[in-house]
Amino acid sequence: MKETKMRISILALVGMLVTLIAVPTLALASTLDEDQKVTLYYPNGDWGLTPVERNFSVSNGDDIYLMALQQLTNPDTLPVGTYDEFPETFIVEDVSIDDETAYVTISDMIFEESELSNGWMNTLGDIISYNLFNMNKEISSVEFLSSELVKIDMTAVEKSELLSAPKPSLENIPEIDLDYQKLAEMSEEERNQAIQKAIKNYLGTQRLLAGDYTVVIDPGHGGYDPGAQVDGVDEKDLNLDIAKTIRDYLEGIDPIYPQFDVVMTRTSDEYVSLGDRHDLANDVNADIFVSIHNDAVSDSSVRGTGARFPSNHDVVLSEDLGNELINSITPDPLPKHSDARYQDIQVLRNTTMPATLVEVGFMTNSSDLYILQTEYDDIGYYMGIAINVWCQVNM
Amino acid sequence: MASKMLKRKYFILFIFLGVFAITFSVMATNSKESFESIQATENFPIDDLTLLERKYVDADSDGKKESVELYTSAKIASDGRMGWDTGHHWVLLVRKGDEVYPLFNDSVQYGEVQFWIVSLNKDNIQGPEGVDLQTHIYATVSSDVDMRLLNYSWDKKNHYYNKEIVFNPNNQWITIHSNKYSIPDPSRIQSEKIAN
Repeated sequence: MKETKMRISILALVGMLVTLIAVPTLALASTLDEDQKVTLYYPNGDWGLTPVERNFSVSNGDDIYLMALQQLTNPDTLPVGTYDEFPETFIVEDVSIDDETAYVTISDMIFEESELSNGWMNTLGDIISYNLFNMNKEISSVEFLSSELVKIDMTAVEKSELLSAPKPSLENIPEIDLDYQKLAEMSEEERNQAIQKAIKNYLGTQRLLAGDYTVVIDPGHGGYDPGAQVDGVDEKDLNLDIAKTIRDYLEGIDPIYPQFDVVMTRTSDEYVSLGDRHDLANDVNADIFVSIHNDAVSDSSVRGTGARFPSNHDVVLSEDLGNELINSITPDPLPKHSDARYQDIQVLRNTTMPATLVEVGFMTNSSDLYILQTEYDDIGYYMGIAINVWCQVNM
Repeated sequence: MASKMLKRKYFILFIFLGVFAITFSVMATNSKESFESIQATENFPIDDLTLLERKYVDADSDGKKESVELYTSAKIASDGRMGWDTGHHWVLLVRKGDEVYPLFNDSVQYGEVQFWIVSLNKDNIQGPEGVDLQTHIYATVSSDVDMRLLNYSWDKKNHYYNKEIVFNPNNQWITIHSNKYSIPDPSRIQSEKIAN
C-alpha cells in the first residue's frame, strides 16, 4: 500500500513537472513564425516566367498572399536572374479573396507618379494573376482595385483565358504574313481593315491588349556626328528621313484603330548623346524602341538590310521585332543582308523595353544608296505598318 | 618579202613585251598596296579618345621601351560598360618620346581593334636582350562584315613602321567577333613606372 502510494505520488510529481515544462513550451511554439514555402513566378526578361521558391515566415494574422505579392513586386527582393519589371510605385496594398475571385488593391502612387501604358499595366496584372492562380487553385479570376476600393483601369484576368493563351516564345511567334506593297497601294480604310484581319487571324484565342502604344523612334547620329559619310551623303540625314516617315504613318492612323504616340529622340540635325536617347525611351515608358541607322563597309558589293537586338532584356521580342522590320522592307525595295543578331550597343542595352536597331542599307553600295535616297518614303511606310501590326500582336 | 616578215616578227615581239610590261607593273602595284609605311608625327590628337590598353615594349629593338596604345572614340556609359554606338574611331599607335606612329587610325563599324606584340628570336640567341629580338605588332580589325590581320614592324633603315596586310579575304559578308573591351579594365593600361 505504501509502495503504491509512493508510485502514485512520483507519477503525479512527474506529470506536474512535464506539464509545467511542456505547456509553456507548446504555447511558446504556437506563437513562433511558421515557415511557409511559396513558388513565385518572376519575369525573366525573355517574356517568360521563372519559378523561384521563396520562404515566408508566417505568423497568426499574416496574409501569405499579400506577403508573396509584395515580394514579387519589390525590386529589393529580386532573385538573381530575374528582371525588374514592376515600377517602384507599383505597390500591392491588400489582397482579399471572396469566393473564387481575388481582389488586389494597388497603391494610388502608380497613377500619381508615373504613367504606364494600358498594355504594360495589363501585363503586370497578368503576372500577378498568374502567381495567385498558382498559389490558390480555387481562385478563378483576379480584379484590381485602387486604394479607395474602386475598380481601376486594369483588365480583370480570367484563369481560363490566361492559362490557355500560348506562351510567346521564338517558336510560337509566327511571321506576320503581310504584303506590305499591296497594303501601301490600298486606301487607308482598306489597309486598316486588312491589318486588323491579319491580327485577328494570328491572335486566335489570345487576349487582345487594347489601348494606345508609345513608340520611340531614334534616328541615329546627328549634329556634329554625321555617322557614315559616302559620296557627300551623311548617314544622319538618311536616318532622319526614314524615321520621320515612320512617325508620319503611325501618327496618321485612323482614330478608330489603336493609336500610336511617337516620340523621336531628335527631329532635326542635332547631336543627342547615347544616354539621352535610351533615357528618353525609359522616361516615357515606351512600348518599343526602334533605332534607325545605315551601314558602311570597305567592300562595296556588300548590301542589304539587317538589325540588332540586346542580350540583357526582352531578348525574344527584340529579336522578333528586328526580324519583322527586316521582312517589311525586303526583298523589295532592299535585299536582306542578314537576320537580326545580338550586338552590344548602348542604346539597346540600357533601354527597358523591346528594342531593335535597324541597319536599313549599306551606303557604300551604290544600289542601296540610291534606294535609300529615292525610296525612303516607301521604306518608312512599310516599317511603320510593321510596327503597327507588331505592337498590336505582341504588346 | 624577207624584211616584211622580219618587221612582223619584231611587231609580235613588241606586242608580247608590252603585255608583259603591263602585267608586271600591275602586279607590282597590287603588291605594293599590301605594304604601307607609317611615318612619325608629333602632336597626334587623342584628347577626345578613350584609352583602352597600353603596353610598354621595345618595339623597335633599340634597347629602350616605347608605349603601344589603343584608343577608341567610344566613352564609358553610365552603367560602367563601354557605350558602343554603331561605329567608332579607333587608333593604335606607338609612342616614342615626342614622336607618335599612328599604326591604325580609322573608323570601324560595329567592330573592335585588338593587338598582339610578338618578338622573334631569329638568331636563336641565348638570353637575348631587346636589341637582339625582332618585334612585330599584329592587329586585328573586325567590323560587322569583315576582319583583317595587319602586321606592323620597325624598319631600322628608313626609320618608320612597315604595315603589311596579312589576311583580308574577299567576299566576307558577316563577321561576329569577341568583345575584349566591352567592360573597361584599368589593369590593361600599363603604368610607366611599372614598365621601367
